Amino acid sequence: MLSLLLLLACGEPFLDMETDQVCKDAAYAVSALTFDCRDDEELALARFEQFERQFRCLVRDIEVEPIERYYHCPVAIGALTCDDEARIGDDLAQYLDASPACPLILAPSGAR
Amino acid sequence: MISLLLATALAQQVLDDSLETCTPRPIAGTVGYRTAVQATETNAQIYGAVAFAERTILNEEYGFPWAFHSSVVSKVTRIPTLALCPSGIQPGMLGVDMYASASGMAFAPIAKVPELEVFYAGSITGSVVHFPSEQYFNNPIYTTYAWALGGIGLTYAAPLAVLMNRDDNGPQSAAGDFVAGAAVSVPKHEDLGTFRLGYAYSGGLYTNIASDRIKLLASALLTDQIRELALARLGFSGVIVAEAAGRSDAFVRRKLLKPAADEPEPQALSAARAATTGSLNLDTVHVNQRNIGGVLSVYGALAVQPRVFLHEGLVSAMIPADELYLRHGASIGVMEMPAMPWYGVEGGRKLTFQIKLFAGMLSVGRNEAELMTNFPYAQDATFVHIGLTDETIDVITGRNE
Repeated sequence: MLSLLLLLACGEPFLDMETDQVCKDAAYAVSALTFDCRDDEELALARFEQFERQFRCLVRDIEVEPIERYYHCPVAIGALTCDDEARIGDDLAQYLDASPACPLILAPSGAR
Repeated sequence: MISLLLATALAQQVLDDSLETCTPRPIAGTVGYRTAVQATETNAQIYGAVAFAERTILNEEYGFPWAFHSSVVSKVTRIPTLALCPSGIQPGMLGVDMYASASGMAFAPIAKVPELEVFYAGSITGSVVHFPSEQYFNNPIYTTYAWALGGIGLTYAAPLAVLMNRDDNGPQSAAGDFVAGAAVSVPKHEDLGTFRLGYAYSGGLYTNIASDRIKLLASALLTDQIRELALARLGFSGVIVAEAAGRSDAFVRRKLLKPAADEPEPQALSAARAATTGSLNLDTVHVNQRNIGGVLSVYGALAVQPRVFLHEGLVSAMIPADELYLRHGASIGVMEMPAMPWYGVEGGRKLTFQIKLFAGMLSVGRNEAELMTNFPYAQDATFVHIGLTDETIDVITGRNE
């Protein structure tokens, strides 16, 4: 029983990445930037939800697509300063200008 | 020992052989990476010495001058990672394990003055990342558990924490913490009240006022800037209305979910951003009824900030045996944390359960509410606790009879 419990506690060290993980990470980065700069959890949550509604993920197959290049998008959003955050405000589309990788993975929900 | 070896062998089977020749590269600058770095700081600051001391040597009910404890939280968070393999790049999510080991003691240094006590608690906490490896000893059981159990002995050297690696060292690092101070009780009436004052290396000034007679407990941990309450608790603990009904707790608690970090921010962050780091208080109201009929315990906690929700609802049962090796139990319930996408988690209600062996000396479970207030991003992480708990002491001292 002890063996079973300890094994249960180990878990899988390296899991497959979900197809839309890089897009999720971009939305998380917007939320984290807002939270750090504004110290406002309601706004950080609202912007995350708005970002998820406003953009859809274009990634279809992480086995063949260059995920390592795509990750430049969430990393670049995460590297923005509070001055950038203040300038962008609620115009979330401007976050896609943070990296040339962003338009490759995210598009407005209504666009084809 | 056989169990441990068997578990190790099984764990080895779990590892993915196809990744053994790959090199993992966690993607710095992502929320997952930042969360893993911050998890180590949080682990040291909140899951470290102060919280341990409050649960054990400074706990009026506990009444034991020495304690130790070791915890492992498996896959506390996951980092987006690129595995560089001979066949190409394989993206995945690399799990981060956390460990926390602590020990402490409280004693009267002058025999003729029992009203004066000194206390000390030290902790070694850290994070370990695992990746499938052809090296037999590089598996989760050997590495994380070895760090956790080895850390118990190192906790007495925790004042050397200032010399330990406190720089940004990516998602894998260790930190030491300690709290030391003195306690003064009312002469000849120790149960009337005790005032404790100490210094916590990670937090700053620590105060604690307790009265065993009226079961009052108030404690506060102020950050060095004296601007923020990292941890505060006020209420009653261990009230006995009727023997058969067990003990009652009722208290309010504030926990800072993101303590002010004095660590260098990851390179990707600018100085302008590092200067303003958000924080979130989780305010909760707790009502517990413990040891009902020597078998059942019920725990309830309602969050009132950042919004109103049921933080924890838990029923726990223990076999009413007097012998340590026969006293086992389990608990099951629900817990909820607020959505925190800035940590990469989206909240929601979770099933929580725990299996306790040997009066809680060994316990395994998932989604423990207390743990989640320390690691809000640890949703669906599994934990293992090893050490003395208040339940263990109850059995050892015969207080549960």
